Order: sequence, then C-alpha cells, then structure tokens
Amino acid sequence: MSAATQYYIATILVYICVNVIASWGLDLQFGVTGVLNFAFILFQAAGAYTAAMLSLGPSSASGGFQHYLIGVNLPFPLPLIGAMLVGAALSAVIGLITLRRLRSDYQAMVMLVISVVATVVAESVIGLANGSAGLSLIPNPAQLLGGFTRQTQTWFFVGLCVICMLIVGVVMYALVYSPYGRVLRGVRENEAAVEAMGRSATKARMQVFVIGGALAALSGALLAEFIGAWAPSEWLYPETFVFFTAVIVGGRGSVSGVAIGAALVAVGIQQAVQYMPIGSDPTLLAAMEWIITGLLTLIFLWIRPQGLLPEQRRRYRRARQRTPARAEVREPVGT
Amino acid sequence: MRHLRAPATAKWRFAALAALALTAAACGSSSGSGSSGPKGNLEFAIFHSFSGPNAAYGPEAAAGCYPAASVINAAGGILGHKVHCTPVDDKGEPADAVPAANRMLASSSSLVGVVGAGSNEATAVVPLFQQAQMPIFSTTGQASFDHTNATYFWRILSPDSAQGSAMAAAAKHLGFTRVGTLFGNDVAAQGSAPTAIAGVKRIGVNLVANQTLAVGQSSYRSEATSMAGAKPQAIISEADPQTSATYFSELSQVGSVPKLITDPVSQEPNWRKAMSGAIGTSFLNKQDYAVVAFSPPTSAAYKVYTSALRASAKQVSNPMQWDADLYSVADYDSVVIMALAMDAAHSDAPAVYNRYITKVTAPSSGATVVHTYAAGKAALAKGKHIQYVGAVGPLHFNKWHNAGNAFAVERYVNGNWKVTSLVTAAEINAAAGS
Amino acid sequence: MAVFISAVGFGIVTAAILAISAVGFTLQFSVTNVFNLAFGSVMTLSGFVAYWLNSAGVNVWLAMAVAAVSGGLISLAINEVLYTPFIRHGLNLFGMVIVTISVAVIFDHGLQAAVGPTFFSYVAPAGKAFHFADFILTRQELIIIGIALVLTILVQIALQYTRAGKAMRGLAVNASLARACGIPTRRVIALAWFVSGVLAGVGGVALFLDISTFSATTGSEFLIVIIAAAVLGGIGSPRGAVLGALVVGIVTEVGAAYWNPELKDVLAFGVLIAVLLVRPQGLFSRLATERAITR
Repeated sequence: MSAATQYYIATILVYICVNVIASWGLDLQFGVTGVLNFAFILFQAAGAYTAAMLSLGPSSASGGFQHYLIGVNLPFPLPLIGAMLVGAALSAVIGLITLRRLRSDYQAMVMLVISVVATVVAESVIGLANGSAGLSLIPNPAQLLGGFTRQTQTWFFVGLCVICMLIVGVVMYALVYSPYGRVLRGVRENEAAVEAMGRSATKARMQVFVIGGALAALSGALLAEFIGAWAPSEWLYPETFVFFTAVIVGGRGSVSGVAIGAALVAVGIQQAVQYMPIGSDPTLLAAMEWIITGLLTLIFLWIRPQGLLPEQRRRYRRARQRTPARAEVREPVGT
Repeated sequence: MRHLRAPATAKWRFAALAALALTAAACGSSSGSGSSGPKGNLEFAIFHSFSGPNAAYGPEAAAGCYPAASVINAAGGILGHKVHCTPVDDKGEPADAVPAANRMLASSSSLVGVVGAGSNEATAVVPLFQQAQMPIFSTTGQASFDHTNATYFWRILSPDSAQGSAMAAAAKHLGFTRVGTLFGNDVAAQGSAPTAIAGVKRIGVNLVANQTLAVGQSSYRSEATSMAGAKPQAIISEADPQTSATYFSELSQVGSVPKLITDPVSQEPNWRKAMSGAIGTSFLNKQDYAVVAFSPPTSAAYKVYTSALRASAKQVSNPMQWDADLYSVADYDSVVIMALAMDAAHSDAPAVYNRYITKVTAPSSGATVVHTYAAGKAALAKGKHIQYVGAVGPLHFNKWHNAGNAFAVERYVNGNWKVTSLVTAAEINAAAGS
Repeated sequence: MAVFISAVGFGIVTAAILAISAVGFTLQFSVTNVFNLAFGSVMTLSGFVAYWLNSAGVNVWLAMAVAAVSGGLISLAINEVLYTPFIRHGLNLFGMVIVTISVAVIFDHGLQAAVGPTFFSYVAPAGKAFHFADFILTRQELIIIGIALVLTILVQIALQYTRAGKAMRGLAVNASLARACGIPTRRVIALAWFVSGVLAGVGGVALFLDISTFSATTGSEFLIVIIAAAVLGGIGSPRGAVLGALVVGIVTEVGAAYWNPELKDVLAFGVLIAVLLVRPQGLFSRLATERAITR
C-alpha cells in the first residue's frame, strides 16, 4: 500500500474516532438527557485550542507570527487532559448561566447566541488564539516519537485515537446503562417524576453538560493535534447541526447506535452525492451534502425517529401489568 | 449584527468516500511514476475552496489552471502527455482541507502539481504536500511562509506583509497626506493590516483613522461616521465584498467616500460586484487605486493568458470576469512554470522536476527569456536555458521559494485595468523600514 | 455628546430593521411555540423575489410589497407542508427545532446552488440625506424606519382590537382553553405563520437594502441577532421584540462608537445574557417556563 493511501486511511480512522467521541458527548446531553446544546461545537473548539496552547510552547518561539495565551510545551498526555478539563470547566460556567434558571426553549436560543459570541471573540481578540488566522504548527504527539518513520508515527496516532474512543465507549456504557443513566433518561422523559424521587433534574443536566463538554473537548484536542491547525472557520455554529444528525440517525440514547450513526451518516451522504447525476461541480456537491444532511434528518424524524439502532428500553413486566398506561408503552417521538 | 458566514461543511463528512476511494486508491499508486509509464494524462489539482464563505476562490484558481492546461496541450503537452485540471474542494478550512488533501494524494496516480490552498488552510495542508513530495503553488499571503523550509511550497505573489507596505508606500507615492486605514478582521485582511498601518506611520503620512471591522455586520454607521469625521484624503482598505459594500455605502451616506487604496482583492469580480452595487460602478472606478503586482496587461504572456481564458468557456463559466484577477493570473503562471520545469527536468516526477522550478524562472545571462509555454518548450528542446517571464511579470524565487512581485498602481479605465505608475522598491522599503 | 447622539440615531435605524423581523419571529412563536430557525431562509427567499422584480425594473418599494406577500405564502406553505405534519406526528418542541434547522439548511443551500456563491444588490438610490441634530439619515433609512413603525404598531393594534388578534393572544396564553372557547385554532395558526412570513419578507428586503449586498445565506446569517432581540424582549411579546431590537441596535452602535467596534456584538449579546440572568423570562414575557407546541 502506498504511503498516500496509508495516510488517507489513517485520516479516515482518526476522523471516525474523533466524531464518534464527539457524538457520544452530544448523545449524553441531547439523546439521553434531552438537553439541547446548540453551542456544542464551541466545546470541541475549546479543547482544540487548549491542546494547542499546552503543546505549542511560547508564542515567541515559533517565529512570532502567531499570538496566543499560555504557550507552554507539556508532554503527552497532559495537553489532552488539560483540554478535557477546560472543556468541562467552560461547560460548567455556561451551564450555570443557562441551565439553572432559563426555560428550556430559551436555553436552546441562548446556546446559539453563545456559540456566535465565542466565534466573534476568538476572531477579534488576536492575543487569545491568533484571531481568525487561528493556530498552526500544533505538534502531533506521535511525531515526537523518535526512531520511527512518519508513517509509523501516524499509525501510532491512529492507535491513540482508537484507544481514546474505546475508553470513552466503556465510560458511555457504564454511564448510560446504569441507575444513573435511568435518572438521566428520567430527566428527558418526565422531569417531575425525577424530582419526586428526590433527584435534582437541574443537577443531572449540569452533570451531562460538563461530561459532554469534556468529551467534545477531547475530540477537538485529538483533531487539532492530527491536522496541526485550528481556526474559527472550523467551528462556525452550523457545524453543531451535523452532530445532531449523527445522533438522530444513529439512535438517540443508544451508545452503539450513535457510534454507527457518526461513522455511517458520513459514508451514506457522500456516497449518495457521488452517485447522483449532478456532475462534478464542487460547489454544487458541497451544497448537496448539506441538503442531503437536512433531508436525512427530516426523513429519520418522520420514518424512524428512534434511529438505526434504537435505545434499548428496559421494561419491567410486573410494573407494567399493574399500570398498563399507554404513555409508558408508546415510543416517544422527538425528544 | 453578526454575519454568520455560510455554513462550512462538516469536517467529518469526508469520511464518506471511504470504501469507494479506498478501492480506487488501492488500485492506483501514489503519484510520481516518472515519465517511463504509458503516456497517460497528467493532472494538476485546483485545491481550493469551492464552497463555504470563500467559495469564489476555487473558480478563481480554476480560471488560471484551465487556460494553462489548454496552452500546454496546444503546444503538444508535457513530454508527450496531455494535461488536465481537476477541481478539489478543500472547503477553506483546515479540518476539511486535510482529509481532502490526503484523499487527493491517495486516489490520484497522475497528479503532478497543485495550485491553491488559501490563507485559511495553507498552514495545515502544506506539510502534507511536503510529505508527499508534491509541489504546491499557493496564493496564501501568510507570514508563516515568508521563511518556510517546505521545499515543495512555492509562492509567486508577495506575502500580505509586503502588500501592506506597498499600499502604505502607494499612499505617499500618490501624494496623499492624510489617510485612514480600514481592514476586516478576517485572515486575509489581517495579514496586510499591521504593515500597512506601521508603514503609513513610518513614512510620515498622517494616519487620521485606523479601523478594524468585525466582518459581516448589518451596520458600520458609527465606524463610518468617525472615519468621515477624520476627513482622510484616501482610505487604505482590504475587507471582504459584503463588509466593504456595507461600510462604504454607509460612509457615502454619512459623508463621502474618499479615494481608495486597495489590493488585488479589489480586482476580484465578487468585490467589484458588491461595491458597484453599494456606491456605483463609475464612482468606484473613479475612487479606486489598486496596488497590485506589476503585470502589464500588454505583456506577451498576459495576452496568451487572456486568449486562452476566453477560449475556456467550457470549463470556466463567464471566463472574462477573471481576466484582471491577479490570483487567476498567478495560478496560470504556476501551472506553466511547473510544466516548463518538467520539460527542463525531462521528468514529470514531482520530486525530480521540483528542483527545476527555480532554474526555469531565474534570470541569468545567456538564458532565453520566454513568455509562453510553447516558446519555453521549444527553447528547452534546443538545449537552451530559459527564464519564464509570466503574466504576473518576472519571477525570481528566493531560497524560501517566495518570488515576490513588483508593485504597481492600477486604475480601471474604459473597461480595462491600466497601470498608472510603479511603486518603487525604494518606496516600499521606506514603508517597511528595511 | 454629538458622537453619542449620532450613535443612538444609527442604533434606531438598525433597530427598525431588526424589529420588523423580530416581531414576525416572536409573534409566530407566541402562537405556535415552534422555534422557527427557517425564518432567516424565508427572509432570503423573499429578498430574492424582490431582487428578481427589482432587476426587471420594478421599484424597490413595490418589490418589497410583493416580497412581503410571497414571504407570507412561503411561510404558510412551510407550515402546512412540513411543520404541521411533523407536529401531528408527535414531535415536541425540541424535535421541531431540529426540523426547522433542517428546513433552513435545505433552503439556504438549495438557493445557493441555484444562484451561486456571489453577491446581489438592489437598484435603489439611498436618496437625499437629512440632518437631524447630530446625525444624518437618508431618505431610504427614513422610509424603513417609517415602515417599521407602521408595521409594529399595526401588529400591536391588531392583536389588541381585532377578532383574529384576540384569538392569537388567546392561543398564546392557553391553547386548549382557546379551542374549548370555539376559536378555530388551525386557522389562527395559519394566520400567524402568514403574518410572520410577511414580516420576514419586509424585514429581509429592509435588511438587504441596508447592508447593500446580500447572498443566498444572508438571512440565516443575521437570524441570530433577530433571535437575540426577540429573546431579550421576552419571546412571544411583540412589544418586547421592538424593545429588544432597540437595545441591541443602540448598544451595538454606541459600543462601536466608544469601544472596540470589533466587539460590539459581544456587548449586545452580553446585555442579553445579563438581562436573562436577572430576569430569566426576558423583559416582557410573563412565562417562566416553556410551553408545549400548540397543536
């Protein structure tokens, strides 16, 4: 296999891992708990910037053509851990502002606004993360391994991403299919019932907001280290929508379903675009990708709102016999 | 009043093609098979954004590549191979550009050279092309490439920093004593803003206003009012089409638009279209002084370019909108240079011909000066050394593969860009403090 | 002082443009509780209707009137063909947000594929400039302010005094009670979508005139500011939307005049978040919790 082909396959694998991790973060918030985080992409960005600032070294060292905060050169895996901490902390701050008192439709709108404000700040305050030019020359931890070819280093990085994805997957299973997961689903389905059981719905929302933020940040950190650059153009607010599509198509609340959704939506959409008789005009192809993403979301919401691999709904036979309420049996549509 | 630019396509959608392209890639081999194989087509990629906020960059570069391919094919191709151009959408951002570059490198076995990669994505993808030993002629203006070690990176046009100094120098050159500066906060404009502002101060022209705009707002009335209050004789400006149009239409309402000192962006059709809508075509032409690479439209190379462009309507829609677009012209020259380097190297292997790029462009005594691919090919066949002087003028690459152009002031008169004066190196050095 | 007065004056112009759209957005939301992120696409589509008429030689104000009607029809059609079936299908508030984003994405990119990634302008002279104290307004800006005043006052009067307006308010307060009282819910909802679309049409053309160039995605690009104005005022309240637009408009212009122009949005959005921290329901809304979609 040629070097170029290997890089290409490696790129695909890294992107699948990154997007599965991010989609799980959103699934925890939106799929499992029902928090509509339209600023999701912001947390991915926060992770990417943090990992960059923690590994680039001082901004004067790289020729002085880019300016940013912090600027230290920490060894692996500290930049990744730092990114997750910053993602979690930022989530906590934004969660405190939005999740506690605002009605849930306002939460969604305010998240959109926050996503936009963050872009404006990142573009305008050059000293923060080099403005709209963004950061470049972000070191890839695998490339610091001496004595290996560039190809081998790339495969090391793929391995790192896969390991991260597997760890996050284990955590996701542990969280979602546990008593705690039932509380989260309770917040989504019937907040009053959760409160009646003595659990705080707001607290649960805050918790998934913070965990999801940390996962988004981890995905951003891995992505930034892989591509070596990160700029405001990466994380304009419509990018968040694609993660929602992945979660909806895969199956809200379903860990394996969302993983498949994140990996598959991509393949499906691009395949469809490639096979459509619309020529090779790249501008048109890009528009078609968005149009098909939109259509796919609508079609799934209409035909199969539970997604490709639906969330397993545990039923308690005895409880059901006692209360054969219709609401309990019915698959809820639209979270 | 944020203008949220058009959604950029999700980075991960590319994961797409996986199965399909992998099969294709596995069947092909990486590029650089050399001239020994069968005489198939050689491919130049137009690796630029065809979608998203900078969707016009791709067609702009295509307007350089296709005419170049047609003049090369008309002269019999390179080493017996026909050439063609392939548009590849990098979506104007690193996270989409990296997989797009990797996919392109993996799936195309006949790829021999690349034009493209704008300021948003160049820093992310140039290392990939370096790794793959694939020459890339970029129109990025970023300072990070002023002293790059990437040997497969080539830049014909001066970087943004030099462009900024040239605009400042032009302000003095044109005799203005009070100028304002106006730059968008986007990547492209921010490249030239610092040197333009520093340059104005350095050469003793009175800087009466210095504004940076958040791009794409619904109103700049307060900014325009303070600019009008400062009464500049000229404004040195670079901003995207929509921001420029909104600002200057509001400036014309609260005061009047003074002379404008602009850069090659002002020769792009989208910018002219938006600005014409805002302040009127004839007024725009009357006010605008474009400080651009000195490339006399009367030069032999430029004439060949425009006639090839005119004939390329099949691949380039409305081709003549690009005839004065410096970036299109630079991409045309880029492809011709790569082709000549292949002829000089007697090889289409990128790792081989890359070393010949400076040899076919450097001035030297005894070198035959050529302006077209056909003339260059013929001279090389006779065993002569050549110096290609292209449509953007002479190109002397330094050790960092930056050519850097001479600057001229151009004005749009009677439907054509005319060079009205040259900004000398001494004037620019005074502004740059070097 | 002169700077301050002129900044306030400019803020009013911006506010007038935002208010038309914000009232349309909020009115529809108050009746149906559908958080319609495709509102910006309706603005753009109507803006293009006006563009095609205008480039065929029709006066821009007449084109704006036609755009208003077509905006109303587009909005109505989206509701009848897409939103209502999805609501009947059982989607709740959040499910419908995803539906409206999908519609916006499809419309914007479809339009971009059709018209290309380029810019368009109306043929409309800004007209004579008028000086008021320390600020200058063009005839065009005065007309837009006039239109905004007339439309917002009309909406307010109609809500207060007409049968249909009262029915809308009834639905906004308690949909099932309104239905029980014999209000034809479906027709009132349809009317709300139509009026919202009309305001989107006028607001779109006014915005595009003001910024002087636009593209296939301009409406959606400015939607966030419109939403910010509506939320600031308290979503569902047309009066609140006007006030929200004024706050956003004046804060951004004053911010641009006295502070860093690059960060004027941050200032406006900061005001929004500060207001919501103190008064989570927004300035004029009485509801502290969200309501279900009106069916």
